[in-house]
Amino acid sequence: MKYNVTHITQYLYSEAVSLCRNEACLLPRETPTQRCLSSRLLVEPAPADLRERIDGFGNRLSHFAIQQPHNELKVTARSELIVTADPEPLASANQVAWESVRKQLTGARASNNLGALSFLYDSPLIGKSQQFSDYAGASFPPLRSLAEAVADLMQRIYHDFKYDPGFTTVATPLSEVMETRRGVCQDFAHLGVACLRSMGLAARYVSGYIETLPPAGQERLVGADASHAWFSVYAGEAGWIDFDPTNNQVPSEQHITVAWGRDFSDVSPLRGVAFGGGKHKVNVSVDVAREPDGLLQNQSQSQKQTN
Amino acid sequence: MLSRVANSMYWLNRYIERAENVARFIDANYHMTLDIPDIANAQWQPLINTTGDHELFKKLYGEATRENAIEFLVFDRNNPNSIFSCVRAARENARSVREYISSEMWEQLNTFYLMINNAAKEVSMDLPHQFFVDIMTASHAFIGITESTMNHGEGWHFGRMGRMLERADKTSRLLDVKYFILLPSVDYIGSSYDNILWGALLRSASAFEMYRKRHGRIDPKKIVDFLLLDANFPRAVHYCIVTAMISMNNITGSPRGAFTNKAEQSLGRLLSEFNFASLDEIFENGLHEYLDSTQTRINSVGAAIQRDFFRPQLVDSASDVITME
Amino acid sequence: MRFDGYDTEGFYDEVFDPEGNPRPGADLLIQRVNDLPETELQRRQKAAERALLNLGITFNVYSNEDQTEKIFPFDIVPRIVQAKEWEVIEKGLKQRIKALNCFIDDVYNDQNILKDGIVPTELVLSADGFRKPCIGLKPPGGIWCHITGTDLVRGGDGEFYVLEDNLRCPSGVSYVLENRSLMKRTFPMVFDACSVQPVTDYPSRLLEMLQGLAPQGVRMPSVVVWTPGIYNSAYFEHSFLAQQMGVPLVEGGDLLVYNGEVMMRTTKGLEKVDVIYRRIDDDFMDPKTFRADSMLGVPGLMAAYSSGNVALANAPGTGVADDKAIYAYVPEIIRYYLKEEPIINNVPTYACWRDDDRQYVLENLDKLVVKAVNESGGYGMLVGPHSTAEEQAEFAKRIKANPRTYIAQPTLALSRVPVLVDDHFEGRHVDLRPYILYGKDSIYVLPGGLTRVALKKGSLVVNSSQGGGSKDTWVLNAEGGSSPESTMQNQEGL
Repeated sequence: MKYNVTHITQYLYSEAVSLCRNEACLLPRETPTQRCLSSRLLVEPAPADLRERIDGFGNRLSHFAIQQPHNELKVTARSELIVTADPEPLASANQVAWESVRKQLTGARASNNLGALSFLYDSPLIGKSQQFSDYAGASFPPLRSLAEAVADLMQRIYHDFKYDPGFTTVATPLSEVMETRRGVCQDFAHLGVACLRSMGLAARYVSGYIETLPPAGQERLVGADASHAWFSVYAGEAGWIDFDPTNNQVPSEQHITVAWGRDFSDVSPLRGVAFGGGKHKVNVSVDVAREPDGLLQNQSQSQKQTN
Repeated sequence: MLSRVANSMYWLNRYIERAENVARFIDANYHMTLDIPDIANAQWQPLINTTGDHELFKKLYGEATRENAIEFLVFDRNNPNSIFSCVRAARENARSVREYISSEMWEQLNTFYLMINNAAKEVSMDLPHQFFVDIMTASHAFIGITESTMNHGEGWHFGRMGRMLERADKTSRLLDVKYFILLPSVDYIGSSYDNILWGALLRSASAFEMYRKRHGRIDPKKIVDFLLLDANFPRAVHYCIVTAMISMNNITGSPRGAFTNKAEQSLGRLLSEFNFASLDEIFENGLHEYLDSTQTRINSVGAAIQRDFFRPQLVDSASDVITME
Repeated sequence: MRFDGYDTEGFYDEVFDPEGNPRPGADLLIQRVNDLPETELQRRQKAAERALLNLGITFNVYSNEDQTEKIFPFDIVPRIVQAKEWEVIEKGLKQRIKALNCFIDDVYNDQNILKDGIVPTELVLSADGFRKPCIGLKPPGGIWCHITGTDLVRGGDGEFYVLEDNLRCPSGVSYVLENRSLMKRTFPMVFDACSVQPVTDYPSRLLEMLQGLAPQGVRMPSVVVWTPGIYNSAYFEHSFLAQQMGVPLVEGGDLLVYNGEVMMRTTKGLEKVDVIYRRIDDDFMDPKTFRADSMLGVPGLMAAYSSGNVALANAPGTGVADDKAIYAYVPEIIRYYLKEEPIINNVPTYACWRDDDRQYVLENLDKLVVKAVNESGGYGMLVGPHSTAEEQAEFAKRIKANPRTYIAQPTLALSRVPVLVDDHFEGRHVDLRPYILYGKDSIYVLPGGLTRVALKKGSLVVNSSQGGGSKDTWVLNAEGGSSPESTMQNQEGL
């Protein structure tokens, strides 16, 4: 599936900002199922410097500074991607028991899985606790396959928690989400990660987008027209498997990955500091447009009519 | 030098000068009311007006009496221009630039602060004359110590420039307010009553003896001339502006008569005005207007100094910072 | 006042041997003190204290109302270290800092030591001082810890051990310098006769090292000292060092990043800064990268740093190696990177996350000192022999709940030095913090450093925040050597 994604973030200030510096995590990365054909960041007004670098997790970060006074900041990220779904994403993870993956992450052999270990420990927004392992425990009976267990956890989160935009903010702690059983995709993704880590498994927070267009006959997927978030679990040799608890699905062709990290703080789309500004307002718009399938474009040839 | 340090040197000196001037005003006023008990209370409001903080005073206290005027002007922490607030602010500024000032300067400021702090704790409002003398002495000591123990470099010049601008401002305010209180008493010209009032004005500027030496008899016009245009009397507005200019030139490195930035330019213009002023013209166009415009111009020089030296380049107005997420 | 009757009470004493005779090098000092007229020593002690107060050598925080400034208590009896002993210490410290530096560089880049399983990955990646934004960074010369302070103690066996590494913003060197100048005034003749290795060139060596970090091609590097401000307890030191080096002392608000470079706001406009000696914690340095609420930081500093446009001493992220949990692995770290045996040993350490160690610790709480890996300043600590059964039970609970955060060490019979108490001398426990400068061309170890003394009788806690004091440390020159720091010009007796 080919997609054109446009993500616009706009800051409007009541007073002029004399200087601002920002770090953006808006350019999608390459993954085994996603190829980025092109991606560009456009910043208005034009920044004094704009540099890109790759962070410790392989995400593409852009740093820019605007050194002239401005009342409005507009950051537009445009990307062209091809997402190919793995027809059987859970296949290899189905073969392995969840405890054996957990075992791989501890003890002497742990260093073979170095890349995954960063996602095993507490991170700035997520701390392991008994509360999470108590909740998750029901999905992890002995010797169950990892895929089954995590899919079960995902489903339970989907059923037990209510999607309620406006209830939580970026700053709402996970414990409150657990108590009130409400939140948005960011909270559910964090919750999934917290549960998995509390069970001794490595899990990542994934940020990205989800396509608006509902496939024929299916319900509209929540998360449209906004950034979306889900989680990913390390399955040992099978690699990383994604799960979307907000929509109770294993992401396939409709999910576009931008970046992943230990939690939201590693991948916030735009963060920075501005001098001045007074009161400010933020507008965000995301457009995920599917490009018509190449195959259907070509009509079957027919003989030229004579006469 | 660091803008922040220059800023602190400039302000710490301005605040000490301010505190000293308030002490002087009060002391002179106090003496005058002792001499003329009839108008005792009526003289405290004008004193408040001289400082320019009458709005705030009205909000906090209402009508002026000797007690609340002194409280407001000397100890009130809610009044940013009270003697206590000024000395405390000066000390805070000094503390943040301790490595630039001599230890004697710091000790003197510290002692000054402690003295006021202790006096504030005493319940009695009956402040003896000695208290105000002590304040003026402490300020003079500070100036003297600064003069003789600190390098006369950029930092010292910022300090002196601040002090001179403050002094010019306060002297012109004093003239503005007191002159017009005294003017209605035109009927009393030449009377002892009149002389006492004028004498009090001169004492407020520590100018009484010097004036006598220079001009002899009390004459309102000559007093204006002395306090405004004299180029030798260290408390005269003209003298202060001359000295501020010298320090400004030292800071920027410009030769006399040239300018490198707006602050230097506006100060230079103000100086020219005073260099070529004539008393008759001033009175023709109105003394009050002249004094008012002088204060406005001193203020714009202050604002220009802020812009040109203390907050160069980018961040000009707002120092708010917002974090975006 | 004489040393007669001074009792070492079975502890290793730095000045007297177990028979009560002065150790080599200390005899001149002892003799001089013994010869002083009655109460003269106390008089000199008081004069030194007054001098400290007048010089403003304080460490306490100002409150809004008061003016209480406390001096860091100082005792005029110096601690003496033999030249030969110091040679070994110096070698050991250089070895250790080289290894730790390799460790930090590795952890943020190839992570070979983790791949080879020498240090548990979890300890490193979840260490309090580990900073994700430092992954992949390559500071100038590959040096991360430019200025470090290593705490040493001497046990009852007479051997030195490393108690702790301080790789972030170690403080105290200003006391070393001021103590030295006080001692030169207090005992000018003895000082001269003893031939002590100088410490007064520390500021110029520091400056040289900092200048050496400037980006390539910069001819007159601009160096600044960055302080959090006057309310920081070590402010005096920040301003002292800036003054001694002749460089500006700046706060966060004085700096900004412009066109990718760090600039300083001056009365003549913006001036470029090449090297920052930062005395501010990692977390507060850059609100764009670290704590967003930090009003002390400079937004964009990390971006300028990672582009190589400004050098930071110490580099951000060094805290990963002075974590107490990592401390337990330093001997392995030295072996791994340098293929050498450690010259100075760690205090024997039990790591509660290792099952055998934890078992031992829980069974011997009354004999051990238990520390939380993330606390400093002596808080969050159990001193076994001085604790009650309740306190031990409490700690046992904590250790079982969170084994990753505790280590334990046997109580050491720390060495002692005589201290003036009223009209006689008593021994008090001391430690030693030498300072190490790691420059592009060489590593310099300050001869001596800060001797911190636990002033309370029987106390083992030497931190300033908990009632400790300091002494001057005299590292003697080898026989025949003479000290460039002669006091012959400085004859003011007190």
